[in-house]
Amino acid sequence: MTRNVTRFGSILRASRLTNQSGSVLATVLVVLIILLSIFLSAMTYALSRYGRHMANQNRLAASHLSDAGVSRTVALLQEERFRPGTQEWTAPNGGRITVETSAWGPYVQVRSLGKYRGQEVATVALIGTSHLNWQSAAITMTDESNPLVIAGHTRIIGDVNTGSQGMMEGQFRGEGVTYPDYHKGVNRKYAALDVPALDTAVFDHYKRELRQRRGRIEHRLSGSVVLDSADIATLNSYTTVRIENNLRFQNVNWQRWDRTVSFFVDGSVEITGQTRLSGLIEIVAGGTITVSDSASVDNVILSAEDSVVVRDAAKSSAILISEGSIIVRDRASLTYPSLLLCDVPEGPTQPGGIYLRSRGILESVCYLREKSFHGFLTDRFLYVDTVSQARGTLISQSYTDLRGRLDGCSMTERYYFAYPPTTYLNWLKDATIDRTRLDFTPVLPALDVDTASWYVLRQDRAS
Amino acid sequence: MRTLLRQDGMTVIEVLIAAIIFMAGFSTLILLMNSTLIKFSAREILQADNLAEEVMAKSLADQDTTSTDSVFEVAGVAYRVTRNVGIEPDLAGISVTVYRAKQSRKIVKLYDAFVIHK
Repeated sequence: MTRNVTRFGSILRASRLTNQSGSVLATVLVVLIILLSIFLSAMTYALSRYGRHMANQNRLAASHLSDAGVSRTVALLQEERFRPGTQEWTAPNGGRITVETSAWGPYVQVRSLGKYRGQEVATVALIGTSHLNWQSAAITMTDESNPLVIAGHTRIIGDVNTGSQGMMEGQFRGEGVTYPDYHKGVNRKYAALDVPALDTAVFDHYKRELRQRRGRIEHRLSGSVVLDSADIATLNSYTTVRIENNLRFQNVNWQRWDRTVSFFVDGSVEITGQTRLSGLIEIVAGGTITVSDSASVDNVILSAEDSVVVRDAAKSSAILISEGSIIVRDRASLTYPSLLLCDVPEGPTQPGGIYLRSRGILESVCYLREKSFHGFLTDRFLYVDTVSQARGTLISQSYTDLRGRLDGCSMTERYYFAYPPTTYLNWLKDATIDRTRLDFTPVLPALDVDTASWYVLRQDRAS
Repeated sequence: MRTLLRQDGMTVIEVLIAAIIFMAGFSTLILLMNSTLIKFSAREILQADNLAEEVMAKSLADQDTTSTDSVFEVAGVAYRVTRNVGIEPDLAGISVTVYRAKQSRKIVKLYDAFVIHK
């Protein structure tokens, strides 16, 4: 018992703990493990919460950097026009901004990536132009040789820009009595008015890139194809897909903002059912593209050599491009920001146009492009029937046949009204054009960029 | 257990000492790794973020090109907020920095820009 008195064990024995058979050690270990667990849990919780807060803070900074990239691109467009390519710079807070500029249809597309302390936020924006001098008026008609004739119950609320012939009242074979208070606003007469023309630098760049994408197909599908949501996982890995016959999207829900996917379809395309397509999706068809049922398309480009038809309860805020006709009908609605661009090829016999029929509702921008106006009557119209209504900006480098309601403004080379067997040039009958009911100025595609200001049309987070 | 009993209680003391050393070392390590953790609480970071975001959003909406330096009090804590505006052709770049007023330590710095339409 006297051995080894200097050891701590003796002290413990003196404290009458010697006969505990090691239970003290076990108790101490258990208590320590509990304390350590509490300590570690508290530290882990505090650190993860702190890390989350820091990540949120850095993400907030990165998102502002990404927005700043878009603003800087708009400023550069104001200064030096359209310069496709990639630019990178350091922000005053130490973050990095990478901006990739390209074309998305007739708009400038910017993909801006903000990086701040390990966090990255990408933004995709579409940039277009506004022409306040034209868009503030209800009507701009550039024909210099004929007056604008107002007939029937036509009402114009807003300013009217015409050629030197001005505007006057008219009657259709005695039955179209002009509304006594047909115009509220000013009639400005100009010597040389022009409908704004599409900026070829942007749109031609888009077409060139489209041709390049068509030349490097990554995935081919033969025959007609029906895609549903299950197929999207496979297609997500490709950027260019070719379908050798027809394509149908049936109840597909697909959002793709990280990179562009292009479908080149030799035949026709149907987007039906409950399909939802949004993001950087581009569908180019040799035949007709039809959006129907309750389908909706957002930011997508639908480009057809033949017609694009939006009908039933379909919704679109997409860019519809056609070399033939674009038809909106049967309660289909197009919401801003969207564009209907009819790009009719050269040649006086080629028919085409934009048609709003049977309660088609448009809140958007329509642009009927004709590279050179021939001056003689063709089958190219921007047409709004008596039961359809448009809200936004209608631009036609050819004829406009306006019979329904337009809340916004219309710019055209000439108006047209057919009352068989006679056709009337620059006559408006029973139409209502009210500029005061459009409380915003739509951003148009890149048109006449020398006289325009650039604005952001839409901005979406891509990550 | 028999083996442990033969150690005459040495292990208990060793475990206690080892635990104290471990905890002290671990705490120091944590503090070294995240010195900011003791500088700002999560609440301060959150309040500073909200303040910076609010000032930035207002500057962008108002297209305000003036530089300012002001103090805001949020739930009893004072923050200094500086807004510096750099003007380039057609572009105004805004830097918003939030400090804790008491210590002049930077909590968050945001940068954004808006287009100046002529």
